[in-house]
Amino acid sequence: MPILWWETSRLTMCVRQNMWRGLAGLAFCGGLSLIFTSPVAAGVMKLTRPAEGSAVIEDVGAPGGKGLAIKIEEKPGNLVFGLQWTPAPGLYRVGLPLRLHLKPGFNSRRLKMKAAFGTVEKDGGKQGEKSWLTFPISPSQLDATPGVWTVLSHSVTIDAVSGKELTLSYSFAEDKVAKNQGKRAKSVFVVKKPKLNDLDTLDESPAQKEGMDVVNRIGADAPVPVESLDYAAILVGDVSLEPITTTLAVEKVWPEYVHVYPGGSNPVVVTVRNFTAQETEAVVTLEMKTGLAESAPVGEQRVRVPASGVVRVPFAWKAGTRDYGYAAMAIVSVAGKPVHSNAEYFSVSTPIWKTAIQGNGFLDWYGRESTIPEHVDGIRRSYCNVEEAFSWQPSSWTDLNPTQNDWWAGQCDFHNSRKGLQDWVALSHSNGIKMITYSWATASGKRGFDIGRRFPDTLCRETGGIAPQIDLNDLDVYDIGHDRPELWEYHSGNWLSNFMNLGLLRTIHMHAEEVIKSAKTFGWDGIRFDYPPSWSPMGTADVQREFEMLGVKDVIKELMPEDFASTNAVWSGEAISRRNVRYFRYLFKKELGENFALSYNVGSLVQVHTNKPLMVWFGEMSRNQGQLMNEAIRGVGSIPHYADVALWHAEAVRTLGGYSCVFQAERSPDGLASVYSAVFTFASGAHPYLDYGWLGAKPGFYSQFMTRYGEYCWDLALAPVAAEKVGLSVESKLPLLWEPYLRQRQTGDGLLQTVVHLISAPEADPAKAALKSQGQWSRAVLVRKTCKSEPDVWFLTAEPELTAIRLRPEKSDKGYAVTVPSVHFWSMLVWSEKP
Amino acid sequence: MNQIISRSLVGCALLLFGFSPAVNSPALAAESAPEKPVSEKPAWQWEKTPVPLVFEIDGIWYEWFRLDSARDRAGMRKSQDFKNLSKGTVIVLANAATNRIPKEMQAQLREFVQEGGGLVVLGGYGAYGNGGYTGSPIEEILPVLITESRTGLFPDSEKGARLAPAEKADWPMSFDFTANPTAYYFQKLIPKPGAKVQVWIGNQPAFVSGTFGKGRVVACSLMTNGNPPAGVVPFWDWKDWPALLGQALEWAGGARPAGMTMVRSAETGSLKPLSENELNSGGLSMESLPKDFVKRALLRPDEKTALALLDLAAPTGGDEARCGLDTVLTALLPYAKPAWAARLGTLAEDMNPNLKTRQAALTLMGACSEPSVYPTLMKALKDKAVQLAAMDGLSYLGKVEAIPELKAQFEAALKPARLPEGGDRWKAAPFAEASLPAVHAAIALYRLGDPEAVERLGTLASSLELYVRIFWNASNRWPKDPQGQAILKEIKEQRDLLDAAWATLQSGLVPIPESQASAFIKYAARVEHPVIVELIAQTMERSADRLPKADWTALAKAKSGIITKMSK
Repeated sequence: MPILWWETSRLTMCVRQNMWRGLAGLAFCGGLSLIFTSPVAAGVMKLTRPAEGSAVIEDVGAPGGKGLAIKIEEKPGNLVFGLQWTPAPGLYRVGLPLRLHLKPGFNSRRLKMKAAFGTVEKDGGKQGEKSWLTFPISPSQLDATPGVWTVLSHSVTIDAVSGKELTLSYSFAEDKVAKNQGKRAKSVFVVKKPKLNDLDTLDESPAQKEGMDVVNRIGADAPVPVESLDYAAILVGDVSLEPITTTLAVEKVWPEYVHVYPGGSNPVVVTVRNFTAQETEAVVTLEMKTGLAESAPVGEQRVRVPASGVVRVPFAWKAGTRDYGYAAMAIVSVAGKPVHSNAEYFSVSTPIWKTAIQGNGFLDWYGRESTIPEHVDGIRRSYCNVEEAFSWQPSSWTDLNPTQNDWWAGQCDFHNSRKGLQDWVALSHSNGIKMITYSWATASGKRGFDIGRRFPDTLCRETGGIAPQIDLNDLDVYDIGHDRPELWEYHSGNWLSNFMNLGLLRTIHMHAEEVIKSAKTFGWDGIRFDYPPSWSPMGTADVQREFEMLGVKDVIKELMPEDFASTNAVWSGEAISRRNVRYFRYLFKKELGENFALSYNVGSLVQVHTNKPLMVWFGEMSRNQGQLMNEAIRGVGSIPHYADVALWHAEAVRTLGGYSCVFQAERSPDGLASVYSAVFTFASGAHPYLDYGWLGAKPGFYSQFMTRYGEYCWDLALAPVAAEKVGLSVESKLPLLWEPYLRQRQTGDGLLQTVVHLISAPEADPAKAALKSQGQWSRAVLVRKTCKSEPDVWFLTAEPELTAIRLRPEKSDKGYAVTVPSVHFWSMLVWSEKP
Repeated sequence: MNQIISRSLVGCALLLFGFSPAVNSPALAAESAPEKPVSEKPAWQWEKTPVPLVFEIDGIWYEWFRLDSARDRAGMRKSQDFKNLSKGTVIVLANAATNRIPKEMQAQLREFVQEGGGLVVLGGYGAYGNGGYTGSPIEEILPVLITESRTGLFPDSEKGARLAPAEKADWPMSFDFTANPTAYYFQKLIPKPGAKVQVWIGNQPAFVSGTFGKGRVVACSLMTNGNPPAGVVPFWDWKDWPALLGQALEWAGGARPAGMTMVRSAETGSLKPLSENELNSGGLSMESLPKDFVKRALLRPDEKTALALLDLAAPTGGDEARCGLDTVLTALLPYAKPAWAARLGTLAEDMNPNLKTRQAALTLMGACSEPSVYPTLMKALKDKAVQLAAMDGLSYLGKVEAIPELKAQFEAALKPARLPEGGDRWKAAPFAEASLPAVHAAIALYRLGDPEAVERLGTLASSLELYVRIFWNASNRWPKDPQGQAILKEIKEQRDLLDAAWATLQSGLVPIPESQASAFIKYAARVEHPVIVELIAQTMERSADRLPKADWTALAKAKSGIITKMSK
């Protein structure tokens, strides 16, 4: 039964786009309501009931007051429902109402869910299911407020009559323990061939009969109150189906790049689809939105959209000096009336760190070359605009310019190939994703030791000399194996390395030369020093002799005015470290341009701003917009502590003029660690390193949101202020964290802007936190602020989808007040007023 | 004739298993003597070896010293059998720090030199002061004072310094120093009283010779570090460097006593060979014989023992076997007779459920030199379970008619592993799987006189040696996940196959059959691969007294180094 399947690839594309929330986000973007009502009536897809293990429940919160309760079994489960649905071609929004009915102590963290909408195809006696919309569901997406249902909303394109046999299937798997991982979920409830009842007499297709049969059977059950369920259950309500448009739709808005430097071009292609059987004349308008309400027209084009076809409309656009997030918003109009719109997001900045959302560049598996297109696609879909190629080089310090086609990375012995690396960089660049090379202060692998032999002074020595216990057999085998693909999978993964002597300027110079040459060959946009180039004191005579030797006396004199003429017997460790950072920066900017970005891993769990020497050192690296990464934070277990560390680090680095970068709380047992890592990373003003699981089931589309509205977290001008001082208060029934995150800045147009982060407080008790994977959402949060004139207040959130709403301020005692409709985990208010 | 070859072949196979034919030698008598109390340290006893052995402890960049070539020039072979230092002539520390040398070995090293062995220490960041020699037994042995502490800086010379012979050197200096061999890094060594500088580097000692106890020690201050510009010849690239270092090895080993032949076997340990009385008593009933009868009988390889063991393993008259034929095979092989063939034929039949016995019977049948067993062996070639034994049997039988089929078997075994590139490039896992049948077939062809056999074995040996290293390295992984563990298990199994194949190849080469002597000499004359050079030297060493008529003149003319020395 070929219903939708012939359009699989396009549907897949639509689903992907939907995952980016391109459609969802435009609802309030820029303060315009741009959902255009279609004449097609909204529909409801009635759930049929599975055979057993479930109950019909009545619950006032459920759509229609009824739903199904699915008992959560202590094993992976799969549940198939029947649906009856015959939609016309168009763009639809599917709503899936859910609620968890859990008992105290239930570890909902283990619950992983997935929804899959699909067709059932029958080919002879065989029946196959094919999904056209699939999405994972996390408990964290559902409001934990007792009695409250959450409707998960997804849009999907149907461009042909879908036929009469559709199946909605849900799979629920309780990930009880790791032992279940990797096993396929077994079917617990399956309704494949329900009996036909006397409705057979109706003139319906067999498929419809099947569906209606089950519907009837559900109807026959007497609902039970949800409170009477004595088991943990997933409550499912009737699926809603809302047509967004059944005529023309802006199917896709595609800026070529997810990030551009100021002044860079970013062409945009708008794809318009015609769902009707007639060719339609339309006008496509593109405008560029930034900030809260800044908007600039890009162009307008008259097009003819073929019947049941698409047209792609290109627009040229060039960035100016206005940085941070942009929405490219396209509107399609027919006969002067807007029909549909859509938007896509990107950012503009230099350095890249200013708007950085960093992807996961640990491509360390054999045969990774074949996965690079998929990898880059995922990075783009995650809105990551920068990625570090981790330990790709033959030697982390001494060789970033391999001469072979294939080689082994010195650190970790990762297999790499020239073609793979070039493809990765080129494909990333074609999406505007910046590529950072990794740096570690060792000569590593065969190549590193060969260079170390020639220049032994640049290597550190220890008891037993240089690399006294290195595995020589590994080194020998390295040479034999690296040009021989038939032996690659037998390459043993030892890290053979020797630390560099960073006290010598020639060691620094050697690395800089390697990086510069490599950047010119492969196209690196920056470098991350996993080990910042700090060192201990060195004798002044030796230090100055090196300036002569390298012919850089004048350069150093300019770079190091405070130390150059030192008459002390030694240059202090601080001075040597400072020299190293400045010399690197000087060479990189000179040879690779001002956009070349520098990052340093300076992991710290302390309040850096109280440590003066550390602040001086951090300040050196932050200078000229360096990024300071805090890797130490990845090991923090407690989420409240994680929040503190992220804030300490970000605030210290901000005051130094640099950009903070952190890891998520990877080892935290907190059930909401992943969610709160994202929230506290951004709310503190830091940038994420590696993938926080942006494409997985999260309560919000955080990376997309930050691409568009990151300015209100990341601008270095946003300085902390005391609530009392600015006269701001928050009233909420549930505890909200907001005071440590209150910040202010002066805007270019003379306004005073106050950013208020509203964060649902994380669970402080570790035992409770470990079992918790849902949050209770605050509603009707009242925010007051002393204010002389009426402010312009925007509500911004990533949850459940990118939302920007201009709130209506009400006059309050000494100022104004706004009511925030709801706060899930994290929302922001941007309060602009005349000072 | 065939039988003679067979006997000499299997006799040498015994050598490889650790059994010396010199069972009546004084050494054996010494081993058979009552054991001394454990507390009393045995006196150092040098073991006689056909060629001098060098033990090497290597540190980073050791390969730049080109010790392979130096050893070759000195006519020495490398050994890594550190448990038997008494077999060695020279120990080399090539930029090796003390943390690569266990403390017990440091003490043994001292004793080794004290008793007449040689020591050569080569420079580097892992040697002398930086290598932790200060205060260790090595410092005492050295003919130089270690002036630089481990934290000290090494003197270097930006332009480098040249090597030059010392005026009072007593080593022959037939080297071309006019090529200006240069060193960039060296260690400052001060000769102890009585030590002699043989070669200078600039104004610093480069080679210092001295003695300790009965032994000789050479301290070399040169380091293989530096980045010479074009036109400069670093000492390690100097054409005469291997000869100079080889001379140091030779000199150092010059005081080493010849030693005596000893019987060694990890398997037999302190077992005593079966005595004549024991062999004659007890009516060969296992019940009435000592527990380790078979093992001890194997230490007494003679015809009488062989016959006794055959009666135990393959009794006539329907009696039950009292030991496995496979366990006594090596003792029987040299004495196999045509008359045994019929007796073994029954054991070799497909019906025999004991696979090991069946395999041993097939091998032994071939060694019986009874032409009538040929069809049985050819048939067995087609049976995977006994294929290798059949190949061995055919190799002993000596019927050249088997050559085409054995060639086909060799090709068929390797076919799944072949890569288009050829040479020593194979699909790794299939090569490991194919290695044993390929080696058995290649050895059989070698023994049967196939003219291409030596070349074939050489090519196979270079691949095998490489894959053994690769698989050993791969099996050092420690994956935690079950899938990784499963892969590791597979790799280890394949590694074991490769190990077995390599061991079979080494043993199978010995002794060189008369029919292959000419081909072997030709091949040996042009081989360069250090590992194959070692293999050839080893094979020649073990075949020397079995090919008395071989004319090695051509090889001696064509080749220098250890192979030349062996051929003389």
